[in-house]
Amino acid sequence: MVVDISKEDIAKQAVLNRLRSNIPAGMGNLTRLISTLKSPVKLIDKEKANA
Amino acid sequence: MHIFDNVMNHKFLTSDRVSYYPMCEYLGNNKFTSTTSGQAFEVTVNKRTVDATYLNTSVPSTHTPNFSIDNDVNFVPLNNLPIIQAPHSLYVVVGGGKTGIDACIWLLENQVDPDKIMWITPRDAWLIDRKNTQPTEEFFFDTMEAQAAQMEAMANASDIDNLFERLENAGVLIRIDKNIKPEMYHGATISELELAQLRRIKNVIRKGRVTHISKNNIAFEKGENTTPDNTLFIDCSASAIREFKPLPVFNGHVITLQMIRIIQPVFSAALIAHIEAEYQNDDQKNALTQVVPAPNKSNDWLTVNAANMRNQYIWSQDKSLQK
Repeated sequence: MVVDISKEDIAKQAVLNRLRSNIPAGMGNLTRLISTLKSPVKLIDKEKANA
Repeated sequence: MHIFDNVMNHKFLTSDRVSYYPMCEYLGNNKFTSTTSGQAFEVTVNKRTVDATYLNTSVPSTHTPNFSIDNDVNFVPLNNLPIIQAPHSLYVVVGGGKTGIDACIWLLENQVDPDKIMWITPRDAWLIDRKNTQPTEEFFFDTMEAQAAQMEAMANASDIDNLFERLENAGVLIRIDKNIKPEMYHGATISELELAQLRRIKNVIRKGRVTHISKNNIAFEKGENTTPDNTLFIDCSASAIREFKPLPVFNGHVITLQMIRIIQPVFSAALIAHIEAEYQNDDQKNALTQVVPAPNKSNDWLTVNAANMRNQYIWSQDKSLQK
């Protein structure tokens, strides 16, 4: 994809800015979500233990 | 195949820098034998051996299904569809992945009544809208809007179910049946027109994996189905890429080809070749070629995208790769 867009192309620059501005929060939250992936097994075990 | 044949015969071989040994079995230690003549070969490797077999690609025409099939069953790989000589009473597509999708679309395009198609899908998949994956500037808004929407979904999702909900609402991921929660993600792409066609097939069987096929019966992990005489079974159950343990791409005398960009084996191989040619030591080369695993389950969407973004960031910090 060509992302070397002219600064005068406001509409395309707006899309790129929308993408770039969310990268830090996107990476941070994705890392948080991944950390929850391993928890369901423990939750099931805990439920069994409580049963 | 025509493209590969053309590149090999008219570009590589005419360069006098490539030797080609088709129909050979590699034995290790730079030795291989012809499977047709039995002739043995040994070559000198000046730089490194490139192992392009590690991903263990499997295709319908050569793989062995994970279920048993009686001898009197008409069971064919999808490659045989164009040589069908007479109509069948039922077409059973075995496999819910991209190959299964392609077989269903082919049958519908060739005037098969959707009610004469049975589609066996052990797992439903999250799919990518093809219009969001086009690399040219005329698709800028489709592709980059999808990228921006994906990043927003990543940034704002409260949990994993909410992430997929946001991705679907933004049109980043799509599914064939909105009442079924997908368990699979292989990165398959589909167009809106193909999606509409697939939704015409109502006889979709979700009873787990096939365990045995006999002439008039299919046994599944969770049940069975009868089939009429003159049923054609179409094998779409091969797994293109199996799950694998990532290895360092550069390791001693071997380069092990793996994906370093999300579901992009060709781009990955090209960039690995560039890095081998342009960079000096293996630590640096491996830092630039960290493996992005092949996704399988739906939740793999998260981990492969994280690995992909990590590599994208690393490449963006390398002055040579920025160009």
